[in-house]
Amino acid sequence: MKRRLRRFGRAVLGDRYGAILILATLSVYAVYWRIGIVITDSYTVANALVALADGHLYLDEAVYGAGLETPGTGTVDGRLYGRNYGQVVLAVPFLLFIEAIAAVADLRVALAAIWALLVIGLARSVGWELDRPKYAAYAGSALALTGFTAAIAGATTIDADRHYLIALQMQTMVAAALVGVVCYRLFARAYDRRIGFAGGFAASLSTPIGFWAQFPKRHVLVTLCVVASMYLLYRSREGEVVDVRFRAAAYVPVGVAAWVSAAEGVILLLALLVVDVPTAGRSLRSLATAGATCVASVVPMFVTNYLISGNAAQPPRVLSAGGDGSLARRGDSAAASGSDSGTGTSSGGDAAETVDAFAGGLDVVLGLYRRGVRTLVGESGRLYHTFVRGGYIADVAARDAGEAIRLAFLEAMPLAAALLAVPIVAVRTDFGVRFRSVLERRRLSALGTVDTFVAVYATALTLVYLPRLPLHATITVRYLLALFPIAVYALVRMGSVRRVLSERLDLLGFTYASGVLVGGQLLVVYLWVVDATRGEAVQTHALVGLGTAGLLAAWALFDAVGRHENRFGAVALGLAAASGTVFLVLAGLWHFAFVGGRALPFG
Amino acid sequence: MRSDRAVVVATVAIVIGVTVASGPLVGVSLTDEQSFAPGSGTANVTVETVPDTATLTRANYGSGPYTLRLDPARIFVSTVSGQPTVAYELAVDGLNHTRTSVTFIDESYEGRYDLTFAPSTIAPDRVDRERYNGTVRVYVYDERSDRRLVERNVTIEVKR
Repeated sequence: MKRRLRRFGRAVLGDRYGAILILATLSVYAVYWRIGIVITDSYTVANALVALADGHLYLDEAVYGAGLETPGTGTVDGRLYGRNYGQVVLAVPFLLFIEAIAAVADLRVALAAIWALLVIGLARSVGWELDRPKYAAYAGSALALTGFTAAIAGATTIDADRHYLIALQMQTMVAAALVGVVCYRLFARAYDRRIGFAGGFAASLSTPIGFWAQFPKRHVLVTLCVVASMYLLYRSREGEVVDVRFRAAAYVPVGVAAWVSAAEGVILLLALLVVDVPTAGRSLRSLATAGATCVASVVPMFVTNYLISGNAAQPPRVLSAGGDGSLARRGDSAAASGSDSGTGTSSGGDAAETVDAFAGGLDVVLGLYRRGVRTLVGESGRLYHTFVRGGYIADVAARDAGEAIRLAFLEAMPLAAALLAVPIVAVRTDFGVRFRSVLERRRLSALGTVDTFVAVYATALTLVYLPRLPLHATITVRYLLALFPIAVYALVRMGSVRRVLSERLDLLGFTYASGVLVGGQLLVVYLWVVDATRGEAVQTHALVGLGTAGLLAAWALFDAVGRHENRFGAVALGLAAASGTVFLVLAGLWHFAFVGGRALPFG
Repeated sequence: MRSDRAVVVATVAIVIGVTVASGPLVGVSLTDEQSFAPGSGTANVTVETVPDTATLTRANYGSGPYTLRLDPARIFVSTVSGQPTVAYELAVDGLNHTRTSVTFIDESYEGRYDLTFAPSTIAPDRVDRERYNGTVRVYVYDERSDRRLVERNVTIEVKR
């Protein structure tokens, strides 16, 4: 049993750095975890889990929200269905775990105990790694016991009807922590473990991945699928020949993503096909294996669709996140076709209808891209408000309680500012040599393959969603959440960032820690003194983020033209990372306190 | 056994022991039932002071919305039972805007208490005057009655 557990841990986490990363991330997430729902369509997902636990897919009990008809539901044959069933089904193990715990313990106390055990595990692992096991064990035990006592002193009982929501939240928190772990493993293989650890840490704790960790939306799961595909794609190209097993495995996340959200699965699949098929050589057998794996991985989604609408290719919400009015109508088509089949047309399931839905789906995706390009050319203001500065936009704020509670991409992840130097680095790179080496070897390198995949996927995702952005209730451009770890990947790919990580990691870590501890507290004092509203608080984070981003951009640009200032770079990277982390922590502990009570009410 | 290992084992044992003890099998109750029954019980509440001005301030970033702020009202609470509700309201004439902050009180609130007003936001294009008139009201809702304790005219200064 112990050996099997160890083998499983090794397969998922890699090595002790991976274990430290997941324990650290989860114990931080738990501190600002609130048991509650921030966006109304999570009611739908939570009620779907209630239904599934009851043994059926249709919704019949509104445990969450005011009624069953919450955003994202669709009617088929007079029955109401939810959405994101992949997320719902994958939350069942977590639900069983919680029910099992609740059977033998008070759940609040058990959650505090889990946190204490995470801290002890973390202290032990760090202690072994730093060769200070004694000191770490004492400190870890003291912290764990103090936190455990503080969390249960005066705490209230958790109602049994919260279990479903807690299961969904635990699932996304674990997924968010795994995003960091997968990033670590990718970077550690491509470069070294220290660089990998810094990258993985940044992905989970300095980007909005950490914000969405506790809110059960589809984005974190889809993001995990994307980074998993990146990792597996890399592994498949590591050797002299393409590794068929890893190549096929890279398609498995497609099925999971599609099960969670069909549109997201299609975007991932197209990007993977565009990059993988032309670069994997001409072995038909390899292609067939990959294709078969892909088909097998989407079976769960088809089965779910079939059970709901009678049409395997029609997800409960066809590309619901799409662009224009026609898409919105398509989005409601689950309801429309449902009433159709109710009134006597063949009750679905025939092949023609399935093929039709497929062709329609492809058509819709191509239409989305076309629309995205048109937006990119015609309305570049959207690009600015989505990626650089959000600020107050009256139409958007009107649906966000009148406030600007929304961060643009760069405001939410100031670290991305270093990517401004990418064009300069690109111009100074001798592409001729690289291109000739690709031609000579007749294939891309492993990193070249991932680079291409990342570029295609990021462009596709942006084009699909851009026409709708900036949008209310997205807080940190959540539709583009996968771009955050991709930005971390791009950072790690920059030679200048890697140089700073190798040579000045201590200074970077020190700056980061002071930024979070000192800077974070100064920010708390400032917001408290000015009696900031939620919008003002979020916009203060935005401006602080842009400030650190400016510093980082300056360093990156200077570095790109040959003026290497590693110490300055370490400070700039540390401050930018700290700014991202401070937003996560304060948003969870303070700005979004209306969401619900804290899972671990320390003090 | 080494001492650090012993400490870790002891900590884990305590944590798991307490957790199991809290469960239905052993039944040591460590957490309180959530009691949330707004409007239940009774309370005697008197208002001591109410501010006579409020402010509409432009948000401290870019061209944001206006924030309506009002200083706390001081109330005196005595003989509380259950969970009565106290509401602190500001209505702005000319903007068709009313904001009510609700506080659920219990025994721990007895004595002097500062009722806080949660700021609200107003879209920037709606604010076109230098000064608005408004009305502050404090209500108590309990099992005895729903009653208004105070009503007072205030001026609302616009700060750009």
